[in-house]
Amino acid sequence: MSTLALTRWPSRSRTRSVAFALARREGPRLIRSPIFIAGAVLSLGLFGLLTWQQAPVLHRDDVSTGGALLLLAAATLIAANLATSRAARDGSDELYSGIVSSAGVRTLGHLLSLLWAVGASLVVGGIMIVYLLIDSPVGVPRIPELLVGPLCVLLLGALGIALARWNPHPAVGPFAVVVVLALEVLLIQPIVRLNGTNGTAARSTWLALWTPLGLTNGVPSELAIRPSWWHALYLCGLGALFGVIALSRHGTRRTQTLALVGASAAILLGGVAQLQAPSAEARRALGHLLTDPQDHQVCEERVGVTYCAYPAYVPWVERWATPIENLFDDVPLSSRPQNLVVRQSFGSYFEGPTDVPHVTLRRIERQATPRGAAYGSPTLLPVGAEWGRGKMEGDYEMRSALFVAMQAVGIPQEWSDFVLTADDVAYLKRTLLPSMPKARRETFASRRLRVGAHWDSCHTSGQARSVVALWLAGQATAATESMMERVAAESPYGLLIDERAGTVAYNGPLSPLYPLNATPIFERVNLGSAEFHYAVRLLERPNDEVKTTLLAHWGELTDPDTDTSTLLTMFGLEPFPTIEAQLAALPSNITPLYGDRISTPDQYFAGVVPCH
Amino acid sequence: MTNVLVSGAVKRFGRTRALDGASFEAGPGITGLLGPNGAGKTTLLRVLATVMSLNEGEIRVFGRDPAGHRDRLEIRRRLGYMPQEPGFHKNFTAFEFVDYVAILKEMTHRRTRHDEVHRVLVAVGLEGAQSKKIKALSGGMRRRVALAQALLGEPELLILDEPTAGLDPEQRLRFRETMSHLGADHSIVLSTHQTEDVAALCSRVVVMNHGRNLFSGTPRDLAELARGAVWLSEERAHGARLSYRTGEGRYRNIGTAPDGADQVDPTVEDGYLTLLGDEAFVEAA
Repeated sequence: MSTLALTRWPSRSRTRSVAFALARREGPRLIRSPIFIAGAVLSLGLFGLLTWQQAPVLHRDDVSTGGALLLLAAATLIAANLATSRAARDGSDELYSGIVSSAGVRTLGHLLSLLWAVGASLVVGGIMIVYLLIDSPVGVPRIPELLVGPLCVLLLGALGIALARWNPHPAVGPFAVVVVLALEVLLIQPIVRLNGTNGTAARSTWLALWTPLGLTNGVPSELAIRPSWWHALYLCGLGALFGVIALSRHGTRRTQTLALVGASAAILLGGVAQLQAPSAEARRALGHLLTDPQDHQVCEERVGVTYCAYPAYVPWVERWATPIENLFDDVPLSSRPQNLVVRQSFGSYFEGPTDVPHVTLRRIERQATPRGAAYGSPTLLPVGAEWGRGKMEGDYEMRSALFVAMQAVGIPQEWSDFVLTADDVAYLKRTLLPSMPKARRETFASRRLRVGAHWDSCHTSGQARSVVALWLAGQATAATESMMERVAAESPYGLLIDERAGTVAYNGPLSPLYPLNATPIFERVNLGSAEFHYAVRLLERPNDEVKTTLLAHWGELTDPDTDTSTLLTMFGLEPFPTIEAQLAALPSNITPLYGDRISTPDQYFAGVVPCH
Repeated sequence: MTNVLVSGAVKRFGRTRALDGASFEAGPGITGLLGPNGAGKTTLLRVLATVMSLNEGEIRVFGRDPAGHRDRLEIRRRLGYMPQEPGFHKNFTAFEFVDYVAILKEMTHRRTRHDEVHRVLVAVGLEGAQSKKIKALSGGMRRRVALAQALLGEPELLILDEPTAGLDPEQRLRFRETMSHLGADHSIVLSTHQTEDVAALCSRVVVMNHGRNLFSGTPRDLAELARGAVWLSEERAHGARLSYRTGEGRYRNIGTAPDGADQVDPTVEDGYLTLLGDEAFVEAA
């Protein structure tokens, strides 16, 4: 049917005022639509999911706001698409085509209504920031990073309107969302694939709407050079382009041509600029942050301990110091670690890409061996760029508390302290050599299995001081105590019998403090499963009662030769039945879950010697 | 004063000629368009409402040619159009829908616009239902919403496509009341199948068929076309083209009356049926 469509527009001022009036009608409808509200709720949920376990770092979590708001942007695409195609779906086009305002003015009104969606996204983004602010964040959020989410809302909303103008089918919006999200995933693949390795992601990841730091928040944002302003310009250009495409459905006018030129220029300029690799100088500067932290950090001394942090993280000194200082209150002055430095370290292992030169990363990796200084030493406790939040805070506090507690009770922590005795050598020969190829046995025995040689690790299973260290760390803060209770509930002592399935499994004799494995020092020393569970039993008792007994027998209980049974007698604790006794008491219908037998503690300890 | 002038209008849809040389004129007051389905009424109204253009012929609304951009805009500013199927947004309330149309009619000042929306909703008797969602309104109430949007801004010309379709008798009477008030100082062109509406409301009537106008005059003139061709009888008259039993038990016949028949005054409906000839009687049967 040939219709009298308005291929030209009414006067500019009338068009503008009608479009704004329409926007005032459509905008509130858009943000009240169930799809938009669901998008806002999902965005907040996703942001919570991304950040709830980590103490807030505003210059890192600002990136997460963009990712979370992508869901709101997708919802905006669908909601704006449906609003724009409403007339076609409801058959109102005939009515509207007899009215002075053209379809083009309605499209302009819909585009302007996105301002309400952008406003709402700013509110949602604001809620995210407030959520971070309530937990004493560090750092300062970066404006271009905060703009990514609202710009995506604008951009995808404009895309939804453009699609509705060219094809009003209601399935077009959801289909477009699938395509957009698939493209997003495809473009950020290089970052996702770098999870767990070190490297620099291809700059093409910046062609995506949102470029994360890493798969998780594991990359300190200080180590990534993000062309955020250029990216914001690129997003603005894309949004303007979609707007022009939507309006071009109703014919073109000079301002649209100009807008098209402007949009293309913004896409080109922002797109090309963001794809440029950072300069070698900028990357070297990042490397310097890692290799020479002392040049960048601020240090302060508290109760005999020096805390050094990168400037943005100085407020975290309080968090780092709390478990340490609490623990100091419970140990004799003479047993407190001397000359301890708690130094922030970004490390060298990141769950995502960085722009640190590869050569620098490799150098740091080489140092980060169990024998390297980066693993920490009795005088150096490394803390990272992350700290736990809520339930997870205990995991992080536990690392510091246990590090100090182990020193207080004399458990060695440095590789150079792991020296083999004659008994150790005999034990290792008995447990290690039989499983080795014959040709290697002799060389290995002569080189490594010598009295006085260094060994890589040791355990304190069966030593009373292990229980003491674990109790001291556990009672350092409320979070460390609940962390130990949680771990104890998740990994009970000894055999795990599943009567319904008729199976049995064994957790092993090693400490179940696996959440601490991220702190390498705990990979060297294992504190023992039974000792861990005895410490949890002590935590259930009044703190003062345990502390009094402990201080009264400090020397004896921290002696490496004092075994756990002495401590049990002293505190009147019931010993756990041995694994052998538990195995003997197993009903005949219970069979091992894995394999056809249960390994004995001896088999777990093959190759691990006691700490001295 | 003639507000609408159409002459020799031709509108084709593929091989179908929806308008085939129709001519039409309307001035102040209410003009009714009568005709069977497919007569071209809706097409003619769409052309008048500037929704559609002609393939051939001439059209002037307020003396302006809607083919011209500026003239078309000016015409649209001065007319109100109620299509047969307005295409309601069912999740809008009655107020929101009319308000939305008001914005498109360039009523951008919020307060003034809301006053006007309220006025037209009162005019069609919807003041109590203005905050109800359209999906919750009855068919009759929806027709009133459609009428309300057409009344926005007191247009000089109202084009109403079957405004009484689906209305119950009470609603139809209300509609007539509204129209009769409006017709006093507006030009109204309406299409309908209801000859009673034409008789009750219209100062002029145009009968169309096959895209052409067969008659143009007053409702009385249309009724007079059947003068002498309508009579009552006790039995069904075999010579009548249409015969039906009335509530009083007698048969009312239309056709060539036999001598001595009990002739009665014809109605507009009688005139319409007579004008359309066999085609109308086939349809009526």
